[in-house]
Order: sequence, then structure tokens, then C-alpha cells
Amino acid sequence: MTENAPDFLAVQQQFSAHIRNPTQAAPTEGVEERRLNIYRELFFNNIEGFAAGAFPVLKEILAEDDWKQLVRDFFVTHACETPYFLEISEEFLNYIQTAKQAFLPAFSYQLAHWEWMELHADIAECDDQAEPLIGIRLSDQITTVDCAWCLAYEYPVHKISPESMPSEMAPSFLMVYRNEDLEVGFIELNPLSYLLFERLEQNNQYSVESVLTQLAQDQNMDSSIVLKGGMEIIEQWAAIGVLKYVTKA
Amino acid sequence: MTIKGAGLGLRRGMLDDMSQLTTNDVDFLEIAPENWIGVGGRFGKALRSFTERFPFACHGLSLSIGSADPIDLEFVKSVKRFMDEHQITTYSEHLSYCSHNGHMYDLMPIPFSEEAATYVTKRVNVVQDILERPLILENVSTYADVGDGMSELAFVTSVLEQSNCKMLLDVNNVFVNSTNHKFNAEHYIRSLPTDRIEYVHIAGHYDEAHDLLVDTHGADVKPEVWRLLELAYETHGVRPTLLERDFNFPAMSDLLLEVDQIKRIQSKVLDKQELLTKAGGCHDRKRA
Repeated sequence: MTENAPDFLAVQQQFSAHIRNPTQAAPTEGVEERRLNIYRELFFNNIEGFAAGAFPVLKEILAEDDWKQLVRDFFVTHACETPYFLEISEEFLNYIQTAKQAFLPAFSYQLAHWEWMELHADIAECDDQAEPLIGIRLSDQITTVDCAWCLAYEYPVHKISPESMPSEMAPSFLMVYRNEDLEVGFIELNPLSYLLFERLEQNNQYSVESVLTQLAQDQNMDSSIVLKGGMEIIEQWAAIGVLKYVTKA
Repeated sequence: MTIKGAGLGLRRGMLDDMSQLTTNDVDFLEIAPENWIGVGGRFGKALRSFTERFPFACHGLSLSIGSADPIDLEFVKSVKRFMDEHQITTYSEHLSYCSHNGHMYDLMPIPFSEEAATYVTKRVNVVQDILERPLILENVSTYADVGDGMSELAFVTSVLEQSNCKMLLDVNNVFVNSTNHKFNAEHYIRSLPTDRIEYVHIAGHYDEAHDLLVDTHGADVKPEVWRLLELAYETHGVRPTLLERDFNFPAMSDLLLEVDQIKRIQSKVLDKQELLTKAGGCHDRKRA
């Protein structure tokens, strides 16, 4: 705000700063404590509700006070740009990426990303919709649908709970997708099927055969094994609707 | 499509319950565009199924018309595109601010002053130019008075007079504020400019203390607030009216009882006004 800002905007500056950070920013003079408290509680509970709704596992694995401290720090230090309520989760995720609280486990950002991904898969606007395909041939050119995503994490983020806290890194490859009934599902991938997904995702001209042959070459693997195994995986993916034709051969 | 009669808010958490509703139950539905713009999947599909069956009103949350932060012009354009796409013509927002150095996602009290009214008016004009329709601004509940002594009524009236915007009269907010800031609710409602009132909200509130009420949208509508609704209709005419309920959801059948109550009061006032018109007509004929 500039020094020439009107008086009432200076009042708003002080009022909003106190709501964000009641212990550090002085309240507006002349306003009863119980009235300020209504605002403080309404705003904090609202923000906490958005964060808890999007990141229930992260909340569950943290001590209650630590979680509240995290939400408070988000409210104080992160300027949210999105006017859209479902995107507050993205703002919180961006905040977690840089959050440095000692109580945050090393996998916090990756866990939060996974939780955000599940929400994103449910609500994202996609140009196409999953539709099961049968009878894909090696000569077909196929790619992935928009409502399927492949992710690589350094921790088994999909298995984390208070009872199952990863103590060390263990790479996990996950595919999230929205099926034709608009339900979200996920599949654990191995490193090779993860690579296959990535290549299909970018594919706009090659046949299944050349994608698989190239993959075998790059990985120094027997192409007949990759062709057979890769085709089986492709058929499974096609059945759940995450693949589509680039052009039908 | 324009709205009339009595409506209910469409909530993502209530889609299953609401899918059974017809226009016999509610005349229109209301949504916050901020909860639906850019949303696909099952929610996007559900919204389309509702917008095909019901007239809709948009009631925004993030415009922040009184804020020191710049107006998010891209956002306002998105609202317009969304309304065009779903053929929604009514867009209301709050005479408030919900951001300062970033969004805070709830409503704060503008310090009432002529300076603030002029500032808001300039921003209303910017928004109206993009939307190509009048903005409808709601009187909001407040729990603190941070202004320079100007009354809420004077502030609201000043904004309405300076800009060409319309008003969403929230009768529960009038009641809540009349308790919180000790003014006469009936006088407030009677003093508003009739031609600016476009839309009405009614809701329940929570009694924090005898002199401090909180607009929770989480309880049944209080009898005093029903009486203010009737007064508003009698004073300014019947307007499309929405029952707001955001949590503590009762059974749909109970919510519909309150929607029916709105319809009954609307019919009652319309009948009365029709009678008066007829009586006036007879009188004129006698005189002639």
C-alpha cells in the first residue's frame, strides 16, 4: 500500500493484519476483544477447514498443535492469489514446498502433492473422457487421455498413515486416473511402466511397436520381452480407459 | 434466465439430496461461481444437469469490492464467461472486502465513510463494465464497527446512489447488524431505495451473546427475521428470495419447509398488494 492510501484502507490494513497474525499485529483500536475474536476464529477455522479437507493425511500424521501452527503460518506468510476455493489447496501445497518447520517429516511435500493430486484428478477439467478400448494392435498409434496422470515420488506416499510412516526413501510410481464413471482410481507402476506411460503421454505419431522397441533399446532390454510385457500393460490400461488413439491405424 | 420466487443454494456436499428436487420444490438455485468455475469431473457434470433443469443465480465470494488489492480483472472475465456458458443473468456479491495482500476467503467490515463509498463506487463501475450488467451488492453481517461514525444505512445508500448498482437485501444480516450495532432494523429496511432492491437473502444465525449475533447460515430462520422479510416485501415489493444454509444441514424436507415459508409470505404480500390495487381501482372508478 502506498503512503497516500486513503485512511479507511489503512484501517483495513490493520484489521486484516491482526486477523492473519493476532499475536504479532496489533488489533484495531476501540473494537471489543470478543468482537475481534469472532473474526479471528471465523477466518482461522475457515482456512483450517480448507486445508484439512484437502490434506487429511498430512493433518492426521502431525500433532494437533503442529498442524495448527502450520495453518497459521500459511495464513500469515502466504499471499493467496486464487479467487477459487478449491484452488486454496494448491496455494497450501505451494506453501508446504517451502515450509521449514522442524516438525514436518521429510516426505511432507510429496505426501501433500499426492493428496492434492487425488483432489485434482476428481475436479480437473479435461478435454477428453476415459473410455475403455479393446483390441489395440502393435501398429496403432496411441496416447494417454487428459484425465490420467503419472507421478514419481521418493516415498510410498499412497501408503502413508499415522501407523505407516516411511522412515527412509522408497521410490514409488503412481498413475492416477478418472474413469468413465468419473471416479478417481490409482495404480502402482513399476519403473518401466512409468517410462512407458511417459512416452505414450508424449506420443503423437509413433506406433505401439515403435514406442516399445525404442523403450527396450534405451533401457538395454530384450525388445521381444518389452514388446510382450508392454503390450500386456497397454491392454490393462486400455481396459480402464486411460488410453486413446492418436489416429486409428 | 431470470430468477423469481424462492430458491436454495446448491452445495457440492448436498448434490445427491438435491438431485431429486424439481421446480415445484424450489424456483431457482444459487451457486458461488468461485466453487464451480474450472471444475470438471463428476461435479462439473452434476452442475450441468442442474443448470439444464433450474434457473440459476450466481452469488460471488471473492470479488472483494472494498479491498486495497487490485480488482482481479481476469477473474471477473471468467465469471462473465461462466455465466454466459450457463445462461445465468443474476450476479450478486458482497459490500465488503475479503482480501488484503492476498485472499483471506471471508468477509471483513469496510470502515464506513464517504471516502470508502466513493472508492467502492469506482470499483463497482469497473466490474459492471466487464460484466455488462449491474452488480448486485449485499449488505453483509459485521461484528465490529471500524468506520468514522457513518451509519451502515448511510454507507449502503451512498454506494447505491453513486454507482448504478443494485442491492441484494439480506434480511438476516439486517437483523444481525441491528443487534450488533444497535440500530432499528425496520427503519433500515424502510429507508432503502425500492428501485435498487433486486434480490433477497434470508438465513439463520447464532446468538453468541444477547448483543452479539453471528451470521452462521447454520440454523433455522428466526421468527423476527421472517417478520423482516415480510416487511421488506410490503415496503419494496416481492423479490426473488434465497434461503441460505451452509452447514448443520437438516433433512431436505425440513429445508423445503423454510422454502415454502418464503413462498407463503410472497403469496400473502402479493395477494394483499393485489387487493389494494383492486380497491384503489374501484375507488378510482367511483370517482370517475
